[in-house]
Amino acid sequence: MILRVRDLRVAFPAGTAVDGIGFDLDRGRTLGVVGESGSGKSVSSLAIMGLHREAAVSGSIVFDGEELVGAPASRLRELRGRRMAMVFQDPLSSLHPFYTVGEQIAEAYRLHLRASRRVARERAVEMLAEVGIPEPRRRAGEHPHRFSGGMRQRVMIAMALSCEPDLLIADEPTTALDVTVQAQILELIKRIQQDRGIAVMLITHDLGVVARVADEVLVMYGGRTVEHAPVREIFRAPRHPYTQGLLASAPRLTAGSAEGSPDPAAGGAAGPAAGGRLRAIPGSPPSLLAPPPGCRFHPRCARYAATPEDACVTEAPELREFRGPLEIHEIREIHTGRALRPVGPEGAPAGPVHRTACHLTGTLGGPR
Amino acid sequence: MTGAPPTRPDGAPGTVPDAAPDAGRRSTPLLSVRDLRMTFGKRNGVRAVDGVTFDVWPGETLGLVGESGCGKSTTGRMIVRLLEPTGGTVVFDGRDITRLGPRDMRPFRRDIQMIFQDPFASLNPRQTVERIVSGPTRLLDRRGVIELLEMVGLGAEHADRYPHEFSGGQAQRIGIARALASRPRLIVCDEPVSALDVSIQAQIVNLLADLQRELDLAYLFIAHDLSVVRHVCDRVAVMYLGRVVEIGSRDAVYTAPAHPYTRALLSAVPVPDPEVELVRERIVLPGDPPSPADPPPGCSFNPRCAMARDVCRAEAPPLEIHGPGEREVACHFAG
Repeated sequence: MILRVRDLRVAFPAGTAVDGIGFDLDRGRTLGVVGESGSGKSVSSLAIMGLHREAAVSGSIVFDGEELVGAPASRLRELRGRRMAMVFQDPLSSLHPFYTVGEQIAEAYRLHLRASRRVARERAVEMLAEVGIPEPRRRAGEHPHRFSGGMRQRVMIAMALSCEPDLLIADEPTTALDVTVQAQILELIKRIQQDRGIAVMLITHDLGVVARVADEVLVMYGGRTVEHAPVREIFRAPRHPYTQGLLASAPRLTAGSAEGSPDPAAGGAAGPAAGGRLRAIPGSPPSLLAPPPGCRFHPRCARYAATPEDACVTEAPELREFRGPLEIHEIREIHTGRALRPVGPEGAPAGPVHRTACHLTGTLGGPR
Repeated sequence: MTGAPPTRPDGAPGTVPDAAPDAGRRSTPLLSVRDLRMTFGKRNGVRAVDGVTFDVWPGETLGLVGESGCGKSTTGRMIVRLLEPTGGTVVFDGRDITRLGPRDMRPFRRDIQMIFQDPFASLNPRQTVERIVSGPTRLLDRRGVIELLEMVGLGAEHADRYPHEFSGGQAQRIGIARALASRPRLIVCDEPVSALDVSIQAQIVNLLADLQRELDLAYLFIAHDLSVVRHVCDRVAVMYLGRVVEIGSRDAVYTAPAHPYTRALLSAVPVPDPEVELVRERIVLPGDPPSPADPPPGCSFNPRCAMARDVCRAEAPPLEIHGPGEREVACHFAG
């Protein structure tokens, strides 16, 4: 277990941005953190990196056995960039315009590993080659403005990986990129993770990106976790009304993705038909300055509207384990129905159980 | 819509009438764009839009998709005359509006409106919603403004507020109300939902669909999100480096894309279904989209195309009818 987060809270003077989240992350696994603006997904990742100055961070963040909450700033500085690294959405504003990309990659390596300039410089060239930048030796001597958006993001990834970290946090790494370039960067992250066996925490608002690269998914809403499950279960059998609503409201690229969906009414894998109405979630994400009481989703919740319960308004729902008949035992090829590989005890890692925070799940409106 | 032999009334590519909805009933397009060009800079200018031709029919939605720098937004801006084209024509409702002066353009400015990507940047922060929606010429009185606000899902209580008091989705509704104030027949929507949260996107997409039905609006829907475009558009034009490389009915383009770029673009979009993602064929294009300042010779897609041969490096392929009349493709080897 490389990262173990428990009851993480991040409070700013204006309000609480993250209100008690927790998860485990192993080496070689990818956790997708999904949420809309203000859900607390980026604030959580910055807290793990120890990058909040004005915020009160409480709870527990254990990185490779070491507690980071309350750790001295100097210790965090040693770990940051060396054993945990981060890639941001906008590569241009994360790169210094004055220094060549080679110098910027070499700096972290020199600092953390006490390498000579020469060795660090070689390392930078090596890393640029690894992330697929052509003519790495020449490109290392160029400044960031000479690189395209996709190439800059490759540079950021090269920089993040230069010290061989155990954990890579990628915050919307492909949101600013074109879709064909996004495909390249996602392939790159996936390949590097498999080659090096690092743990990846991928923060995104894009459900498609999560479906492509994540092993498990944490869905955040209003600073809290509403659902946490293996990736297939999130998409096949979402339990929380917010997750269901998100999946149902997203337009689909193909009509075929609805095939074999367990229960469209529950917002399973089925998308709305093209041209028809999308099933939008009413209202807007909550303000963290004045979050709604109880379950933060209840003002927008279809299930609450149908069967209101007092608890939804008075009590924050606990994140509870759900073990139901929902485990999926095999992956079937979409068109032929042929089983590709079994999933479960021996086929794949056991993964986390399905957890959801909803007073009404399992009573009404849930699938099956 | 299938079966009839494809024809071109004026010989222009990009205008197969069969592909338009209700082509029999409505025989003239609302908007005809012919060989539209935009070159920025004088010598060695950047050809941002390099000969774009398409029609938008009354009441339909034409999607204009492509990656950054492909010229889709520039095309939209030329149609509403925020930019003066350096070549080609824009015909609206039978009248060439490409070179109209400000006075002659005025009636057409009412007919053609625009919705922008960033709702806050496109609303004056010092004006109340009522001022914004009624427009600089005070097109509407307060009652008219409130009617429009209700039509876009806001209410009378919002009329006296300022833009900063609204969420992104609400601000986009205000932008839509403003566009509707002059009773337009065509709205150019430039990335109207891409700045919004997923749960809010669906609200705005539904609103645009409702308004289209109620008011018989035509949309030119410019977007990079191919899933949204599939949902809202009747027909789709795919642009690459200033040119349309494929145009046709939504189903033709999405279910059987003929241009290798369209195929790669569609296969690159992540689908929110891990089981589909696991087995889906994916074409990962090498390299980045080339710069319009320095386009490759021949077909501009050839440096990234797995099918490229000598002819692709020498000759730019014209947009030609491909298959049974539902689509046109600019590729020497369209499959």
